[in-house]
Amino acid sequence: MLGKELLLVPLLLPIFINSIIATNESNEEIEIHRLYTIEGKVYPPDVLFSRPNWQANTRIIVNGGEYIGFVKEDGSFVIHNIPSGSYILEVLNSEYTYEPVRVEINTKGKFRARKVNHVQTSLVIQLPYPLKLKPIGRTKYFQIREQWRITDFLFSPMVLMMVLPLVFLMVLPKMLNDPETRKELEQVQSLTKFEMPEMTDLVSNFLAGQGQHQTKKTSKSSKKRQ
Amino acid sequence: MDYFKSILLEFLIFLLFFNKTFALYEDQVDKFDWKQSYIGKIEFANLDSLKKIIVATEENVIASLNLKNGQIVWRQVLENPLEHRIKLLHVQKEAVSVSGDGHNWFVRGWDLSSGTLLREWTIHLDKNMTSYFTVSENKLLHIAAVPHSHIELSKYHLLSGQNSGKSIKINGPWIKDLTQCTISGLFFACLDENKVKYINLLQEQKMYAYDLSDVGKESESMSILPFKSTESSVILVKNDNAKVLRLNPDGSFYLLPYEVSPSVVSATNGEQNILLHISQMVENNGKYQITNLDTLTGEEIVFTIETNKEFWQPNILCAICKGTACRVLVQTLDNSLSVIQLPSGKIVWTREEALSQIVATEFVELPVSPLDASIEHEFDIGSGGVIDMFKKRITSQFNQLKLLMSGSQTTTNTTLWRDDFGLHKLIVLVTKVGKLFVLDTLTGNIVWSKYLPNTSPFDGLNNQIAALFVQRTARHHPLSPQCIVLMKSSISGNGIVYIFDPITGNVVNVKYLSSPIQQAMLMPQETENFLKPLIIFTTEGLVELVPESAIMDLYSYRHVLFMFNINKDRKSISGYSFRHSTEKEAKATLKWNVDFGPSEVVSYGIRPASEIVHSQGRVLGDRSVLYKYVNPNLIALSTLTDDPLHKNVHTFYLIDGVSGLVIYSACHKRTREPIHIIHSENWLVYTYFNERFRRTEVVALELYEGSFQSNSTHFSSHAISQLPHVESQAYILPAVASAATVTLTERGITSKHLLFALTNGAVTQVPWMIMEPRGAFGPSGPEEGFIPYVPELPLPPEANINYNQSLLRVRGISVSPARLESTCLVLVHGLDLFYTRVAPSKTFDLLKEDFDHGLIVMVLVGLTIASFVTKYLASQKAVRQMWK
Amino acid sequence: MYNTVFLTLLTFNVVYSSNLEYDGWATLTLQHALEDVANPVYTDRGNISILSLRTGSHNINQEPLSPSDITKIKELSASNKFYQLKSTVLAADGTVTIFYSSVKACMLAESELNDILSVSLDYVGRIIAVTLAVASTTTCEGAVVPSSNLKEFRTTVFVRYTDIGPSPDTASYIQKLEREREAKEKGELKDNRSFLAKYWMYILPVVIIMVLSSATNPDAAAGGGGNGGGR
Repeated sequence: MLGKELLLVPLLLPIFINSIIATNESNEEIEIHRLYTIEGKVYPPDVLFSRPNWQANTRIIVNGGEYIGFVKEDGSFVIHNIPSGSYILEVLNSEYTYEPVRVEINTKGKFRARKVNHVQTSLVIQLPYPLKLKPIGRTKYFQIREQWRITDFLFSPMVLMMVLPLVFLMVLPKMLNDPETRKELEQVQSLTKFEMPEMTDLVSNFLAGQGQHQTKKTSKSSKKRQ
Repeated sequence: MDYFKSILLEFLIFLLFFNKTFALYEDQVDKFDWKQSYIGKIEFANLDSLKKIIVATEENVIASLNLKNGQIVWRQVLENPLEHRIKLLHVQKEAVSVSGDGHNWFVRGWDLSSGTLLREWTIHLDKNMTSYFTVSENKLLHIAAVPHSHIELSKYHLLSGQNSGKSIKINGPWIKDLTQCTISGLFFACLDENKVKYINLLQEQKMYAYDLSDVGKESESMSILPFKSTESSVILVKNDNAKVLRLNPDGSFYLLPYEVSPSVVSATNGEQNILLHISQMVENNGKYQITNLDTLTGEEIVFTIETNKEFWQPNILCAICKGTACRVLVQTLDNSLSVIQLPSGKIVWTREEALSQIVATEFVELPVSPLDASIEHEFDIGSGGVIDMFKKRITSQFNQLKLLMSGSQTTTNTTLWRDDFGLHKLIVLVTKVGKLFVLDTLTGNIVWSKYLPNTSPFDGLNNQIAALFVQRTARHHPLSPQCIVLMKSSISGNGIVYIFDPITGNVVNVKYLSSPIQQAMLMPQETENFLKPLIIFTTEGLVELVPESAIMDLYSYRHVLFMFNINKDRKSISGYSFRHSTEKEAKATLKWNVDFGPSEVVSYGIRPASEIVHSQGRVLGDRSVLYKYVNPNLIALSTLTDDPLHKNVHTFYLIDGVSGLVIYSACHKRTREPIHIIHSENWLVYTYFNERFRRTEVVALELYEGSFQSNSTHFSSHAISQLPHVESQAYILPAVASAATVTLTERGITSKHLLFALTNGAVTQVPWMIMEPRGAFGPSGPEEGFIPYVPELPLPPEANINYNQSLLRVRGISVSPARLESTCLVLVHGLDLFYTRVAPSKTFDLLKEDFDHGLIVMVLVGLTIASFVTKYLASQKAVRQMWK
Repeated sequence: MYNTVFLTLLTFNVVYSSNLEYDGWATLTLQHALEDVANPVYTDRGNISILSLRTGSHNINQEPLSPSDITKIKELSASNKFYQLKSTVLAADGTVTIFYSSVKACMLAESELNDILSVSLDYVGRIIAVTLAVASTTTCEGAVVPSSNLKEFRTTVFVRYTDIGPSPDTASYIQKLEREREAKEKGELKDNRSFLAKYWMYILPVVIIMVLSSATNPDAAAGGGGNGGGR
């Protein structure tokens, strides 16, 4: 027998669950304690007029949805029936981001609001209560597409490949008209003793140097853009 | 220096992973994703003159629908429907909803046009009593009934919640069976001893009785239902026939002399009141008809509903009429909601609200197009001879060309053929009411749907589930693909096996088992017909096979087939072997068991069966290889124990499914649910809520064999040479997750992203790379590109796969690989349905979307021209030089 | 080969042995089935008493196998069947739990009855699983084992604990942040990189230009080189 076992992957686990009983129990637990109400106000972003119906699209959730609050016309909200304890309150709006707040209610019914810090749980930066929640900014879900720019186009390797040789073709003959360069060139010719003028060689060498220099520049500039 | 480096690195990580890899471009919105929003089964509906429907649903949702097209105008999602229910929806100037869990009732007022909350106040009860609510002129009446004793009536001001006066106790020894009691307008009425006994709540203490025997009716097998009308009325239902009993404020009554169907509503038609009721016609293929009955004259107008769809026991929720023209809101047994237009009897629109409660999902591949199939057929039989083959080839290529010319893009989108990249698939969905749906991934449209009456899902660990299996994929061309759904009968609880073709919806077979199903799974091996046999383990310990003929296949693989089952009490898990099966009978024998004592299994995770592990090890800093422990039989389990000292203790186990050996276990004290497990390749991730620090924590585990691989060809659970080396690291998830999974790609080359559905509406992706335990690198240090440990996982909004489309009450995420290695298809289901595709390593196998085809052509042409021009110029120059 | 196995298991043993809050004892009654059928008859094999769950100290008491049992094991081994073990656990609080486990008989025979009994505990020290295993890298090699080597079980018992799971390492992260802040407060970070590491981006172009210019006119004088670079 080959040693390969195949454990079949069962998808089904018929298990009885009595969530109703469980919830009843927890309710009885709540009943012993007094229930409190968290109050506060959500401030809309300054550019209010862009979204006329922001109240209906804003929800308040406590402890990830254990308790729910809705925002009234004036931005105020109340969350009822909360036993004493520590809760994280979040304002959910798909357009704007609000910072979550930790609300602590002690057994005597005293409220304290503070910044949420999951890393340093003991660090207390107190916030005013009743809560005043202001958006920290528009939520950025998307990355911005790079704009088409002439420099990008010019420095793209393909264009460089095409344009630079042309430039040299145009510029170098002019340079050759310069008497000093011509002299130098003649010197070169006489030394190498080639029959053909070293035009192409010169161009290619020059090009290599120049090209490298240019591409370096492009890579640098593209880095900056990132 | 090191710190500086780490800061820089962290910054770089941010740049790398969150700005580049993840985020969508804004113009990609809706390009490859779609979202459908649902509200659930309607419990209360109200049609107002504003052409809007206000509904309250079983899902504890208040919403407004557009009467013309059925679209959601606004939707407010209230508390968890498992605990809270809506008890009253009253629409006047504003919509007032009363919802709660029996102790605490929330009374909320909603703006009709925008859905903004206008007011909210609560009623708190000390005891859990059956509560009824009704509204009368700015007063909310709360009635708590105590059978055989009394009812307690409290009055509140509807707008302020102010309690007006003390609650009154009304003696009511006649209130016996609360299921035979109802509230209608100002009357609380009960059926008792052939009498309808009722009291007017505002003129208390006086009980009236209406003797049914006076009209020759017995209360036996009769039920009483509220009837919404301008006048307080109740419906008395007996044997699918109903009569409307009108209760007048002075205590008198009037029984309308018309027999109607139980699904009856009243609608005002200008001056006179009319009754609308729906019934099935005996003739005419059992089509349904709506009868318009004038209560004064008794005149009846009958309209036939024009539909070719199956219409399961429709029920009129409400109606609005103008003359004989009516709009009737109808809900059927399969939770589909329609508006029927009268007098034409046509359905204006239909919403499939069954999709708000999905219990099983599966992605199904599409078959190849007939053209591609014909190309495959070319090589089928070589009997045709050379000329015939040549002819075939030419025609198929001609057809291909024709298709290319006519623009194949448009045709592939609408027809159900496989595309090149495997992005076009079908999604099979099983819903809680027992309706099957098949959706198209490209559009989200329903390809077909089928209602299976009297079926219900199974109870899973935390949710209700159904079992859905793909027995045969579409790859075996002449054979059609085949799927199986397992549900249980809602009458007997026995298993139902429904076998169908996912593409066409044709039923292959339906099997009714004689006992409840305990466990079911697909055999990994295929039969001759490329079918993967389904093994069903019943509660009686019997093993059933679908198809039954697959017994020989099971017999031949009996030594390598194993199964595990988490027992019903959730406190133990056992493994079974099929080695004692014979050629005639499949048999499962207990092989191992693990007993968790008082602990309860709350979650489990197994590797996706189709997952491929691309790389067998990882390279360390010193170029040595650390081999992964990839055990295909590994089961991950989470248990919760009630501990007097540490509150709840969460223990995480890794158990080998073949030998039953506990490979790893770790506990976390003072924790609670939600607990999710993700299992992939050689690593696992689990989340739990830490009550001590009041935060969600995520633990990542990685299993390694070490620097030697014990067996490189195939893994055996029997040969335990070494326990895996487990590396773990914990993180903080600054949110609460409602579902979690990991991306899956065709070959497993693409890096993995974890997908977390959060309760704040986002579905976010976290790269596995940033969660990998750092300890695994050992002293030689990590390889390049290592990310330093940060305890709190960053959840930037750019990583949301659903961008600003919040998804509420997510119950599950299912993934499926596309044929493109880089891409993974994702379906998120809950109250909303969201489909998209993700590319964890970006679409490296596709050209960039903004790839400039024009530019490259331009450059190539330019270069060619330039070379010719320079050639010409050079030769000219050469000639000139020669002349010198 | 087996040594490494034991070592790994042993390290599990040693490292986490002190996590249990309460100590306890347990008695395991072992029974085995030497016929691989659906409803086998279990015969006594021996018993193991774990004296202290915390330290894992135990006594093993197993009778040698009778010749008929040895032949049965050999038969099982030859037909590639399973050797099944039923362990009845009596815990200190009086609860009795039965655990089933099985191994390939051929593996057991090839290891010369050198088996491992893994006793897994949960976080308070309750026994949740008793699993029989044989240490091997392959399933069966087909080696012939003389009957004399199949007389006595040479069982190794490992008591395996549930350790405390990891929790987010916030302390060191906070320390790290603290150090970074301190460093920032101290002022500029000292740059102790070498000259080349610091200024390579300036040096490199110069070098390239120099190299290129000398390549343009390899035989030219130094003056020519300067010219080429200057242009």
